[in-house]
Amino acid sequence: MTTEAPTPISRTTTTARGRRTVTPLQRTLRLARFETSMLAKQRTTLVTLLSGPLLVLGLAAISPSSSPQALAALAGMGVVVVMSLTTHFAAVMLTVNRREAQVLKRLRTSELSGSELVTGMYLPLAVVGVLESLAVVAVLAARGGALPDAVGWLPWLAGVLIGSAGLVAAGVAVAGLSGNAEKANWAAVPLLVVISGAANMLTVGVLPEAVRQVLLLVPFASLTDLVARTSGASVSLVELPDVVAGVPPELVDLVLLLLWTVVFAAVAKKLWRWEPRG
Amino acid sequence: MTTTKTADAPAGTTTDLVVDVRGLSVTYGAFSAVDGIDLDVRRGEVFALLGTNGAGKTSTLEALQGFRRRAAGSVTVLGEDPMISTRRLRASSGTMVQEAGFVPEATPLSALQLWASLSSRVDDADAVLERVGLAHRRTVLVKDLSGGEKRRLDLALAIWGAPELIVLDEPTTGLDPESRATLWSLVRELRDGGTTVLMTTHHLEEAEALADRVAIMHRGRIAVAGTLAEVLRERPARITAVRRLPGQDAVTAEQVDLRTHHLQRDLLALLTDAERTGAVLDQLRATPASLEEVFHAVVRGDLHTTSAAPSASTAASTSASTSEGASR
Repeated sequence: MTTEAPTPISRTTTTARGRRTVTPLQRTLRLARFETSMLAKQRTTLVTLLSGPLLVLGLAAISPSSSPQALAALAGMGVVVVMSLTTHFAAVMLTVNRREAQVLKRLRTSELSGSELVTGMYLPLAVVGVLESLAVVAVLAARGGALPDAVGWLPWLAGVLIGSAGLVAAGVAVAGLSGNAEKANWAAVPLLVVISGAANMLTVGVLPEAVRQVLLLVPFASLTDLVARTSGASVSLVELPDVVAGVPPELVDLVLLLLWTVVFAAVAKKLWRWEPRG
Repeated sequence: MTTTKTADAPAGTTTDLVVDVRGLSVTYGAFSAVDGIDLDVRRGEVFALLGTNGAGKTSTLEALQGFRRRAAGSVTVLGEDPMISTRRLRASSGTMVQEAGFVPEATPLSALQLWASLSSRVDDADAVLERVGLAHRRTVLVKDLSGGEKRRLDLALAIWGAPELIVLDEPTTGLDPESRATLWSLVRELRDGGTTVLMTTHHLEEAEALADRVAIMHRGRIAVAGTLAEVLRERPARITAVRRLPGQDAVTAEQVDLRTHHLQRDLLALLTDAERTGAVLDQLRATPASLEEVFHAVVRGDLHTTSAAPSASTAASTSASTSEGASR
């Protein structure tokens, strides 16, 4: 009588071929490359990310005015709304999905450090946020909007970079409150409404100045003001209070942005879990 | 890497300590999950950590991997403190974690290639997939793999680049018998190749089949530990039979249920007595003590747990109780 053997395995004792040095930067970029390739395979995430530029195209199309000032304000709102709808939301879903699928737990046993893992995993989303901001500017420039001038590019770029990182951090923080993907969908909504709402209201000229100054303190609202100020049309959405008189408004916007980014990063770290919520 | 020599290791055996734990305690608030255990795992052996759910196995493994902060005690793995030299430890060890996952849109090949790109150990992805029996599924999406195939992929990551130490946390949970046999073969191969394997399992037959040494944890402490022979030595063997004297029928026959530490001697005595009296021994069975018996004795509290006192390698001989006797 013959019996069937289990699935054959190699009789080779080892297939190992030695050791090599892998730097932390290499590890981080390799994980980022892998995550980028996975973005293209996740239909929901892909649709979410592509919806950003389409939304701006729609906003530009229905904009009642095509003056450089109006388009600069629209750019300020567009950048924040697009990044919160795409980068932020994608960060929430990525975190929950990776955690629920136990991927974080598995990667934790690799040679990646915690910071390398987090950086590599979210870097593609942050880059997408920056690219979408550039897309917003490009779309509005095509409609007659002004581009940031030589002086404005630096704060514009700094703001978009910090804002993108901050919105990813906010997404990770929100994911920390969510037990599963379905709950995360709902958990992401309040912050999305607050961020998008504040960005939208700042660009509406009918609100009293005091209210606009308060709105500037809302998470990422200062990015709306910063983008509008630096978009080549010198649009000021908020008159800053006397307490910061003499300080360049772009710097105030950047500091507020950085502050919220640090706050969300701290919350994200506090709520971070390697394993599914029990 | 530094190695330590055990003082009590038998001459002629491999004595490098790959894992050296002294007085390890892990707590969750007021609850003590691991309570001052000693444990050592020697180079090139398969060591099985057994215990009921909540016995402290996973907390112990997490402390060994630097995932869990210890409340007390010292831990050295491959000569390193896992809380301090986490990366160096990862570079020399592989882990198959309980309920690990992969990106659903990845394939076994792309998951392994990612792992390869992050690792300082070099290996051949196709060869490793071949080795765990996943070569024919290399381009199938992870979400379409069966549970057993995902475990094989997990194993592929653990053995990538032939690490010095492989930690397998309940590796065969959820595996079908065929996949389990495959994994057993692979573990034996790894051991034969000089790899040290530290595993936890609920399957006692798995420990009996694979482990050179075992430790049974209960309520955060190590109750018994040692080689299988050492662990079983203190437990009595069992002789059972139905003894029927001439003229007796099945109803009046005598049930024999003998617990003994001298199986050969007492079995011979029983047979000699039967020969002398003309008795027939129906359903005669002589069974040495099993790991399952020891395990149940630990859980029942028949074997007292030890904390920091003896090392795991010697605990068996100091803590095992004996129970000997015969019943009607």
